[in-house]
Parts: sequence; C-alpha cells; structure tokens
Amino acid sequence: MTSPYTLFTAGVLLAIMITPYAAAVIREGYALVPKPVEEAVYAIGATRFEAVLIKLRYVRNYILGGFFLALGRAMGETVAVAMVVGGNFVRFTTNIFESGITISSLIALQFPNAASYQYMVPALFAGALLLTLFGLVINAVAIYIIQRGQI
Amino acid sequence: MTAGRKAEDITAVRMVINWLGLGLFALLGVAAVVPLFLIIGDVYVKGIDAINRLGGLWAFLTGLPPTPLDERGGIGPMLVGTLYMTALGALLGIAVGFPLGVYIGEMRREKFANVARAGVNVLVEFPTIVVGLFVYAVMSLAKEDLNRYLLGPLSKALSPVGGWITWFIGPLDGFNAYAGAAALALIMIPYVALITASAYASIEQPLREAAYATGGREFNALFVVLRKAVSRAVVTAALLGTAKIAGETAPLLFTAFGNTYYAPFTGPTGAVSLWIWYAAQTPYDVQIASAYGAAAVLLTIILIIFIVARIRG
Repeated sequence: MTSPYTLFTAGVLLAIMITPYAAAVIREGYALVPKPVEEAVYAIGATRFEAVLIKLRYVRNYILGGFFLALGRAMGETVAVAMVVGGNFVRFTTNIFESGITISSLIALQFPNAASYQYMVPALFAGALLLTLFGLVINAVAIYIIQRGQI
Repeated sequence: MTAGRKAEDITAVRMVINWLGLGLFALLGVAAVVPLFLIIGDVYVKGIDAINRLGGLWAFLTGLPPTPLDERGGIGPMLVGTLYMTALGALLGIAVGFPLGVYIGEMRREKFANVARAGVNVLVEFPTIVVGLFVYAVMSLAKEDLNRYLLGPLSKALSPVGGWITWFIGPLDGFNAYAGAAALALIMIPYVALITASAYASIEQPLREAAYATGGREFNALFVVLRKAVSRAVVTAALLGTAKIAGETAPLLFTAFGNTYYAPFTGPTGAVSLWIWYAAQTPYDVQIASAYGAAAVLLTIILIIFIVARIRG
C-alpha cells in the first residue's frame, strides 16, 4: 500500500457512514416484535441473549431490507468517497489496496473538466443514469423484502 | 441425580454463552459509536487550533479564505452562502414537503397517493450527486429564457429600489445560489414528506373523526386541527432535514459551484461544505487548516440544529 487513497479507505469510510443508517432500519423492525412473543420467549426460560437471537430471527426481513437500503445509500455517497478513493479512472483494478473510483465520485471529480474529453459529458450522464437505475432496483428490492414479511 | 447435574451444566453453559453474546453486542455497539466521537474530537481539536491560528473566531467567520500565500483567512463568503442556500432550500422543502406528506398520509386510499408514496420513497434514497446533475442540466436549458423573459425585465423594474437588489434578483449565471437551493430543496422534500406522512398516518381514528366532526372545511381539519396533533414530529423532521441539507456537498458541486468572495447570489456562490471539499485537497497547509476550521464551524451549526430538534421533540 503506497498511498492512503485506496478503495479500502473508501470502504472503511462508507462502513462508518452507513452503520447508523442500517442500525436505524433494523431497530425500527425490532421495535415491532409483538410483546406477547417476547413474553413467551422469556416464559420458556430463555436467557437474554437467546431472546435477542429469537427476536432477530423474527425481524430477519428487516435485517435483509436494511442491508439493501444501506447498500443503496452507500452507492450514492459522493463527496466523502471522492476525497479518499484516489480517483483512478484510467485503469481497472480489483486490488482493494489500490486507488480506484466509484460512479458518483467519478462524476464529482471529472465533471468540472469533462468538456475537454470528447465523450466525457455523455459518459458521466450515462453514469448518473446507471447509478439511478441501480438505486431504484436496490430500493425496490429492499422495500419488497421489508413489506413481504410485514407482520 | 445425574440428570439434575446435567441440567445444571447446561444452564451454566447457557449463562456463559449469554454473557459472551451480550458482551459481543456491547463490543459491536462501542465499535459503531467510537468513530463518531473520534471524528467529533478530531474536527474540534484541529479545527479550534486552526481557527486560532488563522486569526480568531470573528475574523475566521467573516474573513475571506486564505490563498496559499496568506497566513490568515476565514470562511465568510462560504458561511453566508451556506446559510442563504440552506434557509431557502429548507423553506422550499417544508413548503412542498409538508402538504405532500399530508396528502400521502391522509389520502392513503387514493391511487395517486400510492404513486406519490412510491415516488417519495425512491426520491429519498436518490444519490445526491444525481440531483445536482439534474438541476445543473435544467438550469443550463432554462437559464437563457428565464433571463430574457423574466429576470431581465424584473431586475430592470426593480432597479429603482436600490443597487443592493441586484445581489438577490437579476439575470442568473450558469451557477447560482438559487440552483443550489433548488437542489437542496429536492433532497429535503421527500425527507419531510415521509416523516409527515407517517406522523399523520399514526393519528388515532377517533381524533380524526372528531376533527372532521367539528364541521369546518376539510382544509381546516387537516391543516389546523390535526396539524396540532403532529406538530412536534413535523417540526423535528423539518429541523433534522435542515441539518441534513446544511452539510450536503454533492448537490452543490455543479449548481452553486463555489466562490471565495462575497458575491451576488445570482452568480457562483460559495458554501462551507464546498470549501472543505476544495481546501482539504490542496497541498497548502494554510488552506487545509482553514478546511478543518470550516469543518468545526459546520459541525457546530449541525449539532446546534440537532440539539434544538432533540429538545423540541
């Protein structure tokens, strides 16, 4: 790792930014566990940890849905990622300890001087379209998952 | 006897697992919260130091930003831009988002309300950079006609008022504060609408019937009587939404663009978040320091809004 501007840095940053959001979604589901269920769990002699595990199983659609919602939000995150991801858009890399790029940070970093490339402006707008479509699909999946298991 | 012994063993094992599991949860909770305090601590320690170095609080809040050769400087123009655009964006966001939320929450059975709900759900998760790009594209298309038919004649008609009016109303540049405010409003509208909708949906049916039974118009029942029942949630939503858009950078990149001087809002306008984004990436110590100071100021603004929202809510 030669520079701190890597895909890994961006990943850590996104993890920190997204954790509270995912937690909020899961908490929302957790609060919906019916009181009788909780009482029944304790009544058969479960410890607190076992009760938590059972309740987590009860809200598993919220956990999965929260995962997808957080994924959608992480994908759209722009400026914070653009500051640390390195902005390497000329060479494809799968090594997470090299500098890379995301669609949104590509737009943020390259749009100001896009006019000097022949195809950069349409490419960036196409990137925005792709980002939007991804976001739509991921959100649709998340909302479907959450509502399918609605109690 | 042995069976009883075994049950005791199992119970002991379960207790150990219980403590281990709860300990794991506590550890994960700490791991999630620690970055928050590290970030706040880092920003304030470096930020306050930077503000002192760059000329004290008042000079920092009003001064022009430092060039690489300067020793001192501030974030005055950006602070004004952020406050102006956030205020406009928040006003517009509440003005549109609140009625929209009432519609979605109260007219749940209407078909179009479901369409609106789906749309708002999508919009609240929209990548903010795409919102910025969209407003930029609309601005590029609409700017000339707007200036020729509306804003040009308007600014001519308003010119007797005084020269200061040109700071607010006049022919627009490609980048201006109003485009920035529009982008911020687009981000705030779905946020306010969703929370308003869920607040209205949670009103008990008897209260709703009582409101309608007082015999006023439906408008009064919805926006006067029932509003009082949910005003707390709605005010909290508005404040949290304002805090959210005050720190947004991505939608302002191509709409407000950023400026380092006090300039008319009809042209490129600076914002604190844009200055942080720009200055933190320069190789000059003085500008990086000013970025830390700006981050401390922005964080303070957002924390104040947050605390007000918590106290009210």
